Amino acid sequence: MRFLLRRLGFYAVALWGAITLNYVLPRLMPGSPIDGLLARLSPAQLAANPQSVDNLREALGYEKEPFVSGYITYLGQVVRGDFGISTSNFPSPVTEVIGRTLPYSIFLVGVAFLVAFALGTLLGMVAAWRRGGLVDNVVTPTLMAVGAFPAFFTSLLAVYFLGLEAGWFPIQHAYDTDLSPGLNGEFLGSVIRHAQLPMLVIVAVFAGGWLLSMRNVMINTIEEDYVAMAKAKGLRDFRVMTMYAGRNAILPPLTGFASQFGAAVGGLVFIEFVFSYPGVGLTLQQAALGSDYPLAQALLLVLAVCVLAANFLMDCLYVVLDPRVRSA
Amino acid sequence: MKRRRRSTFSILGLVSLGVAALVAAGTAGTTGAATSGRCLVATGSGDPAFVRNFNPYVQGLPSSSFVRGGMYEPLVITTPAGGGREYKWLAQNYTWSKDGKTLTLDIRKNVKWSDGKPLTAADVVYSLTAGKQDKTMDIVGAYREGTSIASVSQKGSHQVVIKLKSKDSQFVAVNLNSVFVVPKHVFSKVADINKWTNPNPVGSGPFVKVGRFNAQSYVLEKNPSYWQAGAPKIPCLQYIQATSNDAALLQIVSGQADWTHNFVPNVERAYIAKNPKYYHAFYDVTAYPISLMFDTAKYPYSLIPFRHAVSMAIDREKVSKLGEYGYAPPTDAIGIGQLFPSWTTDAGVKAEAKRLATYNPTAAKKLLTDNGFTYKGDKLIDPKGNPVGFQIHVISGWSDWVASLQIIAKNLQDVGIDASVKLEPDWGSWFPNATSTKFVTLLWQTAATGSPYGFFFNNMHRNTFLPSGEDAVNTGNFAHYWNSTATKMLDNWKVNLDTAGQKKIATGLQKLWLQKLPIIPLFIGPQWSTYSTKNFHNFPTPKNHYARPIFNSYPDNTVVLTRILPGGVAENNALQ
Repeated sequence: MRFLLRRLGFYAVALWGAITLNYVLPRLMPGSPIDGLLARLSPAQLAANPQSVDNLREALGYEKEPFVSGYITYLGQVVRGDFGISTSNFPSPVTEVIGRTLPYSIFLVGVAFLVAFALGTLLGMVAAWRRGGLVDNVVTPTLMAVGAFPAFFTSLLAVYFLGLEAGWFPIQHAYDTDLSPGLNGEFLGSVIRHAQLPMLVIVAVFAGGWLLSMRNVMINTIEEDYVAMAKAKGLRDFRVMTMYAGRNAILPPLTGFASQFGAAVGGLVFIEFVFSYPGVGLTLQQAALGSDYPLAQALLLVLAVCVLAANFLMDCLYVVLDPRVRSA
Repeated sequence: MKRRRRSTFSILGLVSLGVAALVAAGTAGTTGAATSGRCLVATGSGDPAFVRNFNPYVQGLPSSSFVRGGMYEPLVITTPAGGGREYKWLAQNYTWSKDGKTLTLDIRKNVKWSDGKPLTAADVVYSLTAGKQDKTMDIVGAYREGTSIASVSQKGSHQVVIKLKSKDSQFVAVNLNSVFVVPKHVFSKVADINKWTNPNPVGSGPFVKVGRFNAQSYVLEKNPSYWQAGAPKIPCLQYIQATSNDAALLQIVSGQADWTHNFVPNVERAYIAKNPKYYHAFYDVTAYPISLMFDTAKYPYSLIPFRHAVSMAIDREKVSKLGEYGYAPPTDAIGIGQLFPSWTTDAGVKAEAKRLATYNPTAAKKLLTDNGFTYKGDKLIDPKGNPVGFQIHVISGWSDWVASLQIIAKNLQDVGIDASVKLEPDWGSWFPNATSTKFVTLLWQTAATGSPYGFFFNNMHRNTFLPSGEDAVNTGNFAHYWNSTATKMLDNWKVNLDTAGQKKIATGLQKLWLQKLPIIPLFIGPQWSTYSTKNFHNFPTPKNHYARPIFNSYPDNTVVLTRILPGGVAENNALQ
């Protein structure tokens, strides 16, 4: 328990650091939120409303606030959960924008990463157990090769060949454009259908990494005494591989999974970009390019919280999985 | 301690079962419910997720695309398309008084708002004077400084009288062109127009009712009580999200979307070739030029021979062919010949405009050396003794401009100017400095396209001039230039209601322009339109150029939206 409390304290400090950086970084960029809104107007539209620049400035109240007092206001807003209005999604409040995009990211990343992790570690386990066998010789290099390509490249290939040419998967968006979000079977089915290709791409790109890390740890674990003991006891080969060696070998990759998961929630920008998938990564990219301070800040905060939360959850899981940690 | 049987395998097994269920469930849910006939599907590029905001005074949002034109309509449309056309729309007629200071608009009588109430002169007066409710609503500029409007009033239920302070020949073509009529009974009740999202719009246009709205797409149903009999013919409009030009390209190639306004490079191969019978593109060059802008208050850009020499040193043909893929035709030294062909007919003017725009580095060098410039080896030195050099700034993502500027920089280096291209990462770091010409840059024109008056007004008149370093985004005078003769001529043009007289002044202005050359026009900035005739036809084409082809370009889009017809038509048009 003391272990967890100590970790909580550490995370609190990390969170405060993230909040402060969130405030500083967007303000180091040139431009202001108005520029982001103006970028979307064509010269003809600017000509039709020559006063639009000044009007926008007044309407949105974006005269540059001083740095330090703005920080105090910002801290107060964070505590209250008031993140303001998003200029690139005018006039939606930021919390609404995040509420609309975060579930999709968590769904996509959550399921895809779990599958990638499960598949990767399973294959890595088998690859290490039967080193030089079929799995090790074929699957390992294949997955490594696929994972070596940048994610957006694989996404583009997948979209073009599997989506456009073959027509096996829908090519864009999170759900069919004819439907409206709602808790009904048709909508949820459409969400799942549209998530299949992005998930396939994520699994293909990331499974290789898990496979390799699991395989490497597994190779060391196989040399341990208790594995030899289990084999000597006459237990089935499969049981030794999974219950004895696999269970211990999975702990290091599991830690890696936590930190990768948290970062991936907002980090899969390229995949979301190619698939027009309304997730956090894409929204953050658009907010950053559009100088949408409120949205960008709030998203960065959400990401920081995700990473920290994922790590904390993994710490908890560690306590459950590894008895040695409990007594520390 | 009893060890719990934690089975890693069973967890993994559960996950695989879950995946299988995922795949199975996904294939079950296919396309959604059908709508009332296929909608005309349009898509943009780089749109964030859609927000239900149909406020006509807010622009630039993906939901704004059809608000002006589809929901709210203009009074009189003046378009440069097809050599210049005028459509009397909500104002079925207009007459000027003899002294040219009073404009009377006859409002159409059978127009109804989508909530059933009739559209009357009261709504028109309200829309024209809405500036007193909020500055953002002042589209016609009635409350702006230097406005020519003295008063706007109603005469009976269907006539509006606008009294001007002085004669203004540009009023209908320029000021009225951007006006749209909104219902007084709805808009006058809004407390803060800037924060209002108009979620259930009441309008008079062909597509007002919002059928379906989610973050990725929305549908506008056709207005069943639209005032034009039999229009619109298409059942609905749909706008779907595309995060980038590539995403939009996927949609139009797959046939999911029919119409975009994105620049598709190599459009013949990337799009048209996929289905040549139905896929077309119309890169409309009836548009203003893109020009190289210098701050003419700074030395040596202030020297006219310098600007003339720069104009002759640039190979516009090469820029157009290699930088702009051949889609943007090069212009002469004035640049409005494509947009206003009947205003640029003087032979002498045309010849001189052509001469100044013809690639001739030798003549450029001679012009410089004849006017106090010298060469130290290959480098150009200005009359004050300093080497001439500058960076031309451009947004790194605008690949065609980057390529064009690299050619331009090379051309300038050939005449001894130390010119180079500087990439800016995004809009925010480029635009404010560009519109104040804090650096040399390419820029478009922001004048209205109703008549060429605006072009000369923005670039040469005393009233648009802003001192060096100030942001000219509101006035369009990016080169910080003004000329007293030009100002007088423009003022004369404004009060001259006779077209022949105006054209004489225009010719004089063009001669003056060529003498002073405040900006360097290079190539036309086309309007990019790709469209599919698989499900709909009668889009604007060069042969049938009834309006500008971009679906969110107001007020032309009102005409287009009422004229597109359902039904596929196979036409074999290459890029037009």
